[in-house]
Amino acid sequence: QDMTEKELLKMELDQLKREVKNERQMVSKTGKEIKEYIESMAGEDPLLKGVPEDKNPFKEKGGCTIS
Amino acid sequence: QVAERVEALGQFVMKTRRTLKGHGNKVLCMDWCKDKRRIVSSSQDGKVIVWDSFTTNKEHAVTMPCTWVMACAYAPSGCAIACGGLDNKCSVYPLTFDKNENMAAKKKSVAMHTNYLSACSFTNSDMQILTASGDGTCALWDVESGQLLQSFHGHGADVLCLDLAPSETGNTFVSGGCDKKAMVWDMRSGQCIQSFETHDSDINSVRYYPSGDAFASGSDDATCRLYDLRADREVAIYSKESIIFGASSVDFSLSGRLLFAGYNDYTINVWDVLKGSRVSILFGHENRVSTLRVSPDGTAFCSGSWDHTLRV
Repeated sequence: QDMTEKELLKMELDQLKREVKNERQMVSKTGKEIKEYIESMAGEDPLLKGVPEDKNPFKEKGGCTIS
Repeated sequence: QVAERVEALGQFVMKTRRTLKGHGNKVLCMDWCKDKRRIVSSSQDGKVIVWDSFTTNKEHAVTMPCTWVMACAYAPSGCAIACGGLDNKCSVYPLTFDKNENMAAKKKSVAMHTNYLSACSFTNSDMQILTASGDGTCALWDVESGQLLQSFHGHGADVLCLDLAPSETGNTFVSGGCDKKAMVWDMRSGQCIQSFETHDSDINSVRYYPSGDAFASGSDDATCRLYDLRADREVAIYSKESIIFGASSVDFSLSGRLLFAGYNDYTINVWDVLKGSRVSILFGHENRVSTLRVSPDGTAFCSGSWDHTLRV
């Protein structure tokens, strides 16, 4: 978009004026919730805990291929 | 500090299980199908290929009328793909298994921008597509009619990436651009809800954290960062003095504990999201890693590179 420097700055300023009204929560609370989310889901995360070879869809299959 | 008492992660061994070869030039973008096995990828050579990642077979291929196909996406149904780049458009191709049908013949032009298409994504249906462009805007389109449903203005320069919020969190998406800003948008009103400007350079990639309460970004300033949406601030920086090349692409593991990031120094760094430390560095690509996505069920991730290949 072709906007002058003044137009760009005005757009930024208008945006910041809107954002100043946003409700914000404390990081001490939200950070803890992110940690808890991860801990609750970690057991199901295949890249985190690994996948048994027989259940791994990407395991290299040995033997012959039928074409 | 939040993660002080969290157990550190052990050693990680991640192996390349598949190498997808077939593109004639740099791979620029890829996306997974919801079936967790098919992948669509696009390249500088103008080709868009659909692969079966289990067998490495190419199931579909189409040649675009332009080079530098910078964006591609799989439709939620698995029945179509979208792509675009230097043609300034986003086009949708239905996928057909009929050998007599020419895929290019059914092409539908959906989005029109006034500069290159940098990113595209279907929303939660095949009916709408969200696009990001070098023209500094994002836009939401109706696939059937090609109608512009909403446009998103606010970035002061090229928009390079976007990601849709997980469906449970509502109708928002995040975009990142050359203005160093990440912006969160309300899809219905077109308004920017929150913006973040802490990177020192272009933001190449943005990805929502699995719960939707945060998102990560990767930038040419060689760092990845985590932004907490409810606290409205950056909460972590993933960087090392030894990492001096830009991060091109980021994605989370299923639980959000790991952040995978592809870099312009040909490596993939795996970060512990909570502790801020790097848990692994993956070598293998012979040129820049340009794109990276974790599969829908989290069992694998795919990386695409300027070395013409994709690795799973």
